[in-house]
Amino acid sequence: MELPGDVIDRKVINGRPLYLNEAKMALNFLVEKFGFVVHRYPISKSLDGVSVCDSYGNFYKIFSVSRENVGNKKDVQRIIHTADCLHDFHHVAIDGLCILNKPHYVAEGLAFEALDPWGNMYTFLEKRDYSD
Amino acid sequence: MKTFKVLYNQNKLFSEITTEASYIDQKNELSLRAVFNGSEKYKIGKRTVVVFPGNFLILNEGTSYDRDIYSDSVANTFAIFFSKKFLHDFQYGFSSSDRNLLDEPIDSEVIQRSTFLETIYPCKGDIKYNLTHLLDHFNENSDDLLLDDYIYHALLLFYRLYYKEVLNKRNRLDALNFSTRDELFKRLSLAKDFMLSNYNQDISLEDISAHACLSPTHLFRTFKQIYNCSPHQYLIQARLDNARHMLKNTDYTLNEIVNLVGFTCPSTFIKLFKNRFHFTPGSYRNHVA
Repeated sequence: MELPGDVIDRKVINGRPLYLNEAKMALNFLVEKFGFVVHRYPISKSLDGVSVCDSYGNFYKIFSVSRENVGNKKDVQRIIHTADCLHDFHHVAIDGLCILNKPHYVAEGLAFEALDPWGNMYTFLEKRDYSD
Repeated sequence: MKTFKVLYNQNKLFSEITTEASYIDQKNELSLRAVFNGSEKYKIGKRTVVVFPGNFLILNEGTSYDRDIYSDSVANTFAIFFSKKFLHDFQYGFSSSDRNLLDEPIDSEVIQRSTFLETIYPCKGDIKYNLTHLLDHFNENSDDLLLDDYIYHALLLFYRLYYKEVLNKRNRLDALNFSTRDELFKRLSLAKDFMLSNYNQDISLEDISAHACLSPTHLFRTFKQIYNCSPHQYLIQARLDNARHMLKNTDYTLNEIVNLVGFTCPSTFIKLFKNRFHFTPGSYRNHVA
């Protein structure tokens, strides 16, 4: 993949796996629309892996996988953390995502699901602190 | 500074940032009134209610009230006025089956007035997040549809809270007769409002019981049934919650906060604060800074 980024960091290597169908385009989409930052990490002498970091500092290692095989992966939940779920809900449709459900309250906060143009499903989650 | 907006569906939003304001003989639609900083005093009939950060007040449609702000620090107040039609549509949407909603999308019956217990409710958890976001978007002059979504969620969360704070708690009372339970719950709510409004004053159980028209023994026994603590413990919790808000959002010194929230002894305050929040006041301030 011809993507920018050259930071090698333990967090990058320890990131959660993120399986993406049409990974290159899906990754560019995440970078453009949600401000994800791309990093590379060495897998072997001649091969680099790619990881992304969201605005909350969560790292994900990117794996390219076909649409049919995405469903076989155990860890396919793609969470995009947001500071304001309702606001993002109003804007993701404009950004080209297909909304799967309305914002609903979950144990961790407020969330909704949407599909990108390549069939990758994302959960937008506004984490809330209920310890008050 | 005052900001007021009427949305396309007649819901209204109002925010005010001031140290001094007075409004006499007001009357509106059903409204939710929150305070993010300072305090706001309401005179509703013969009773006086003060709303502080961490709480909000519900006023029914047609309730007559006076509203005052006299604050040393700048008070930041916010209100949502729910239009009659919006409220009716909301209730119809929840009380009807999907099939019914398809057959009759608009309820043909005469719009009934919805009334709720006019009391102070806790502004915590989801409703606090919702109101904070709504106020931010209101100040940014976001579009009506976005604001309306927040108003919808505010009402949804209020209904949940109403179930938990009123309907559920009222059923915990021992009284067999519904009307007795209802009246007793209203009087206990008066006691709770009196404590939340005067948490920073030196008030006794006799003051609270006189305000709620209950004997001190009856108040003590029944209050525990619904709030799982004595009136005195409830008052201490209110003082500690407000102290925590001040530690997080103001520059007052510890001794100033101790006096402002109604404690007399700093060491007692520190001990109680640590017991409740597992932080000393100083370490809590550093933690949230």
